Amino acid sequence: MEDLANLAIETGIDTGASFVDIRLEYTRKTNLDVVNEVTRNTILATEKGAGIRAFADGSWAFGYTSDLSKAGIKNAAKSITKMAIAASKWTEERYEIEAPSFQDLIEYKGKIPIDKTPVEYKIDLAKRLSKDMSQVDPRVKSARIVYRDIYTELLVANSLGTMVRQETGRLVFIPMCTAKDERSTQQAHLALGFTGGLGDVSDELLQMLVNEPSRVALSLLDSKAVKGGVYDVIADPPLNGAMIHEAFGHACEGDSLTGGSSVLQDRMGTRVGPEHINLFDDTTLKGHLGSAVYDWEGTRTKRKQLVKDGVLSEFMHSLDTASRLEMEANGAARAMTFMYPPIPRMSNTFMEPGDWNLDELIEDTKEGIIMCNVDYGYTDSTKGSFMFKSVHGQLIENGERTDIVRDASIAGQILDILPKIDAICSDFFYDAGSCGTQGQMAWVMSGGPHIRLKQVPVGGV
Amino acid sequence: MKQELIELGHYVIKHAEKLGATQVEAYFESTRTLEVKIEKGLIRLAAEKLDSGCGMRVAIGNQLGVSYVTSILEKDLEQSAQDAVKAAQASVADSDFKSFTSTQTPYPTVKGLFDKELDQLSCEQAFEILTRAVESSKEVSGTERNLIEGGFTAESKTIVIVNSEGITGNSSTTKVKLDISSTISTGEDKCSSWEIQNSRVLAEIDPEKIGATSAQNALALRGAKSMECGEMPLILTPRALWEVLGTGFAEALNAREVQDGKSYFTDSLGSPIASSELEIADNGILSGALGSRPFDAEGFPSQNTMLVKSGILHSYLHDSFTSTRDEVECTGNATRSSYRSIPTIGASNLVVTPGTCTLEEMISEVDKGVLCTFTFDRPNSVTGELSAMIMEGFLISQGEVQHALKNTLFGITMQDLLKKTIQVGSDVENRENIQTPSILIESAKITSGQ
Repeated sequence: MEDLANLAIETGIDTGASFVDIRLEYTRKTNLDVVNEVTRNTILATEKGAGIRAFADGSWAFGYTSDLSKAGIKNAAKSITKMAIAASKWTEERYEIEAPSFQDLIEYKGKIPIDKTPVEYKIDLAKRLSKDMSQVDPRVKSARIVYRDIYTELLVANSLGTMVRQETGRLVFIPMCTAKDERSTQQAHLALGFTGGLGDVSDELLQMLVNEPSRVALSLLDSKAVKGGVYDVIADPPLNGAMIHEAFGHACEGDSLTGGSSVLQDRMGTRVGPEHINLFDDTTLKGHLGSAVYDWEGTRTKRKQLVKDGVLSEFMHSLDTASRLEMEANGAARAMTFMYPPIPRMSNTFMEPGDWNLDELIEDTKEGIIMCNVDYGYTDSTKGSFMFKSVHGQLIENGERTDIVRDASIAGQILDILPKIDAICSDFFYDAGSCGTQGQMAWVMSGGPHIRLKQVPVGGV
Repeated sequence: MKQELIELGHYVIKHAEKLGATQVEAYFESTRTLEVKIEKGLIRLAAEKLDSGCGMRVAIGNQLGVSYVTSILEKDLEQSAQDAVKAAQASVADSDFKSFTSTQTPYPTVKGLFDKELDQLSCEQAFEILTRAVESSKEVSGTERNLIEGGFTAESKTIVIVNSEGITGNSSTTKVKLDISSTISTGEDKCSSWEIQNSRVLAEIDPEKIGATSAQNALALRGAKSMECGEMPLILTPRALWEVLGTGFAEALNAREVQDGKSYFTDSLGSPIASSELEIADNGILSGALGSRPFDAEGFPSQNTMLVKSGILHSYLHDSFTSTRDEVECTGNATRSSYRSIPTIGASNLVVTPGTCTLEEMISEVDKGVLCTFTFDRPNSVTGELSAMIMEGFLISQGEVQHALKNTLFGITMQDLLKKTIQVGSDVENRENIQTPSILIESAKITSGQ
């Protein structure tokens, strides 16, 4: 594989590129979807090929091939470089790619490794979880377990001398529960993900996969649709995490800054929220779904503190954005597969806990709403606006929890929302999610403590 | 390419049968995609992607297994066939599965799906088209600071589907997409909007119009304010209805979701679900349309299916599995975004029949209400409840557009949205596989905050 990588790099440089990189990937995937102990789609897949990029005079070209013969790689490198040179005639910004190089080999280690465990074992596990969820309550009508695992061997090499081989194993569980009674049908889900093996998932977490979605779906049977209005909102950890991810994290991705579109443009070192706010994106955490030792450009990953004591302090960079903004590459480049060019992405994004106790915070909130989990959310980092739809929630009246509500959504402006956070709890929880940007999906984690936001518009029906 | 893929398909079937499969389906794609992205109005990335691969489904009795591989080399296909058989062996029998598609009906001829010019497009031509769009956006914004982003994608694709039940289908299609977003700053006011055009034919792409429209849309959003909350009439333009219907309506008609009781249209067949103004069809054979194809993702012939007529729900969207279970005719709505995804149920072209009034006439009839030109939201597919942020919208007062809106949401159930549609516009627009006009909804809940 190393010789193919070197061939692509040499060919690109000889054709006129000033920087060339290549990702040679071999991935095995398992996707399971088990509903009421019946398998729906059992998928075993192989993705393998080479993605090549060439840079010339401020322009990039990208392409890929699944033809891994010497001739195939050579032809691809040549035609991609020619495309970069053609594109460079249409651009004005001139810069070079400058970055440190890395050489390393990272092996996959996992208890009950996903690549060596037969699919029967995984199906049995999903069936068991589905059965346990069905048995929680007779009103559970559909107990669905989506399971995915992804084993990847990736070789990244570039013309600056990087040659990194990395093996990773990721697994994701998405249990979904549909509950039904004579009044309504309601759904709830959870998403947890890990790097490692099946044996690294604790029994406590497996239990949570069964209990949490069924608890929420059943509680929603008694729910009302929320009435739109302006509320004090307590966001739970998954919603808080999603808000940080969507509303803030995306604006900290290097390419939204080089594109000139981020609302955080020119705000580095300035105050963006109250002093008690600290936000991180940490790719180095052990066992988390977004974790990796090297990124998809072969740069060693780092813990990045996006906001320190309320002040914007770090962005997430690829080689391109770091070179253009003359900052340090910090290992945030990811590609969905070899079929996509790497771009700056989040990994494990979270807010540091504070010192409020949740019960005290509810008591302190005279009239408000607790909003939990995320159905979906999105952001427009140009406008600075975002929107999230929660799955469930509860009204607070006179400092006490009252009616269960569903489908509440929260909307706002990125730069307005952080100052509205007036209380941060001491608890913490992470959940998994898949984030889509520029047509590329990436598995991420996001989380934090419960927080309170003062006076935000909440949409209802 | 077609013949080579058909032969590989028969090879895969034989190989999987040798490994124990009783039925086999092989779905091949060979795609060339040319993609160019712009940033700050300049070319940033050019990509040429050559993707050939195969997705397989095999049955052993009624145990099903699926696999795919990003290659069409014989040895990779053999490995993938083995994976699919292994997956089937490990799976639980699916009593709903009877057979892969075996219809003998010939495929319809759908015109205008392939453009030679697009098939042979060079990256220089793409650079030029994008540059023209950028220039026309700049012309609209004049001296204001205008950040232009966007992209151009041209795709040429050959699909071959072969199964052990006698199906052999092949098609070659082209597609082009131009999207431009303009972010215009005037002092502290920063406004952003976009426009997109999709077609099967290069000559239809109008870069000047797309560039200019994105900038005009952005400029219209200057001076956004919040508004008083309350129940009031709501107009959704074609661009706003595109997202709401494209996801929120088609998903609720997905027969699999209906059968699972997870759609707000469960048990609605033959019932009034919409105002008599609304007529909606799923038309897979519409000449030149983005969602048209001679056969669906399981090799079933495409057709034109009336979904809603005079407000009555006539049909759900079916694939071979759900139609067998409901004992109805298949509607040919199996879709797959690529060989790397599994077939699911989706609309081919979702077509709303245009009405007679213009958008201006609708606005003039509203005393106090909201004009929403874009939202990104979709309803809860089980309950139909929709709480949508108005990404782009305006306050209407006394029949005239007053100002742009910020931090404003509308709330309504899809059931109400369809039933309270009192006018349908003549202004149908196409985006991707959805054709929508403007609609006037009698009342929706508007929430707005600072």
